[in-house]
Amino acid sequence: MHSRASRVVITVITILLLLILGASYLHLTNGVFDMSVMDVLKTLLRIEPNPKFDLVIFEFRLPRIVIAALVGVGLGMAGVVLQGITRNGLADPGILGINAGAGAAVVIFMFFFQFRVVTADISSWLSILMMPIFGFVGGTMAAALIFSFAMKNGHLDMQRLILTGIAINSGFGALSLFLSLKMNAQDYESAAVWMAGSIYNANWIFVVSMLPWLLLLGFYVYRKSYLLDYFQLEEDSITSLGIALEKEKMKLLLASVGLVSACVSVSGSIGFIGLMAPHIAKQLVGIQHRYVMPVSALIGACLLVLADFIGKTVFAPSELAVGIVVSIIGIPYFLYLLVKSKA
Amino acid sequence: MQTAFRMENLSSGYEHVRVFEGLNLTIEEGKVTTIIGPNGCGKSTLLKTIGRILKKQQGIVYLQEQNMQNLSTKEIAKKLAILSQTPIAPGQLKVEELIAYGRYPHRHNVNRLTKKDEKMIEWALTVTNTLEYRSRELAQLSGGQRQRVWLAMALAQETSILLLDEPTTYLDMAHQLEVLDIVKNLNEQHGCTIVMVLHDINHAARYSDHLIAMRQGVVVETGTPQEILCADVMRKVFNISARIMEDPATNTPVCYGYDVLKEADK
Repeated sequence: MHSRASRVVITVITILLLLILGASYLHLTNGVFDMSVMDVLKTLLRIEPNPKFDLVIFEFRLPRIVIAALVGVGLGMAGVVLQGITRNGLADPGILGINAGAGAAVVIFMFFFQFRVVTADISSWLSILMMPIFGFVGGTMAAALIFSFAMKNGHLDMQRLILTGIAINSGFGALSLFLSLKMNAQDYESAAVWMAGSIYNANWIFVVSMLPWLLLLGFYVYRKSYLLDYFQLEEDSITSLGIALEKEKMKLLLASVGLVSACVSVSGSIGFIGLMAPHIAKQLVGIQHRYVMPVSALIGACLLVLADFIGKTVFAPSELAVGIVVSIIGIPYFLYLLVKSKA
Repeated sequence: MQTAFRMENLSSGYEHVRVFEGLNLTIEEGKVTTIIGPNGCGKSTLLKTIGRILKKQQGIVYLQEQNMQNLSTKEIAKKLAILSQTPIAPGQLKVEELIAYGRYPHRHNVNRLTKKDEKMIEWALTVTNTLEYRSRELAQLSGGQRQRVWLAMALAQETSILLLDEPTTYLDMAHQLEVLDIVKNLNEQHGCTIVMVLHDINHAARYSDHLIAMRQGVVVETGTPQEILCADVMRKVFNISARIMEDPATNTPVCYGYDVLKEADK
């Protein structure tokens, strides 16, 4: 029985990796100017390097694909954790206000510091590396606020969690908007583009700034994913099994806040990936979370690379922010889930 | 005689409601003890409190003479298992997967079951007569089957103490006895200490060594079924005038009829 389940998982993972490769290939070769496979391969393998191709691939397209994939992985995993600990299939970092909290913190950061540090090279590196930390502080603050309102009788009330999440979400959203309107025109533009959830100004510094968080927290939630299986029981049974429920929930929540913040700090608020990826993953590999977790991560990556490719090409030469593309796909999917859960 | 539980000055309840206060009570090891009483008397609250599902508000609970406060939740899970009143699990979960959850407090490697784990799961399946649908999904089971599967999960926890919160609710008459017979067998053959809450006083009398009768958060009387199932205690606890005789088949008292007491009768 176990070997069959793991064979399914391996097949699914292989197909997803191929899909991601395929999407990356489309993304690499298409754009403002198209390149052939040979051009791309030659550039990547350093055969007859061509400075023009180098620039396009290494400075523009590749970091963008890597960022899309990493953000997808982060949101996919965070979504699994949040849906697991809230026992609510419609939970998503976006709906819970964690995105908005992290977003507001990053806008505050842009508002107060950004314009001062762009001049010196090293400090601009520093400022970008600081963004995930700011995002994390904001995301944690949002999470702390949501939790302090959602606590009842010393334990988390999941209905209240969702409701306060929605309130916190719009509160922080308003704060971000307010601050961005007070910025100068240039900062405003970059903040607005960033808030819509876009990665087209991705660069390698972003990758460096988020990768450690993603690796660390991703590994942690993967190790803890077995707990999410038990979290499908009702609370009395979980406690009876000897699981320190509130403590484990809190640790997992903080880890997912960290993941989301790292993603938001480089890509802005991208909703629905954390909602869709876990659902699709569960349909593919069942409800064992040690399988759901990696599959959801890969689905997130796949969706985001594809969405970014669509956003880049459909209205070329102008671009659609990837967050908007995801929403266009995500909203009908969300409604579909709602209708299905009613039936 | 060793005690399974000893409560000293125990108080418990919910946020704004104290359900019981200053309770002193002992529950013996190796016996079947059943808590009875009318709705809202605090019997489930008491069971949940000694099972640390509900946080006590005051007092001390000793579990096998150890202060429960000093034990980690995982250590407690190796000593006692609780079958809650309305357990929930995803319908796609297979019977043996759910039962394997019961092994949690004993597992070191979370992704692989040891020989011992598998042996205990097998035993739990056998004792609860659930072997034949071990690989079925929970959603495909009837209420009676599902209740036995939940019991099997609690058994897989390999504890000497079992707390059962109304294990027969929603089951028809035959399935009620089926569950209680399993419980009886666990006590007699495997030496499990059983503490449960039951609504049916006849079941309580037939399957228990000791009864604890509660009313409005107060323990009215404790004793053997013969001592508790009598007109006097029934009047005090349930406000009924009960007609009681001995069932010659089981030699336990049975309440074969009753009337609700009116104010004037008291």
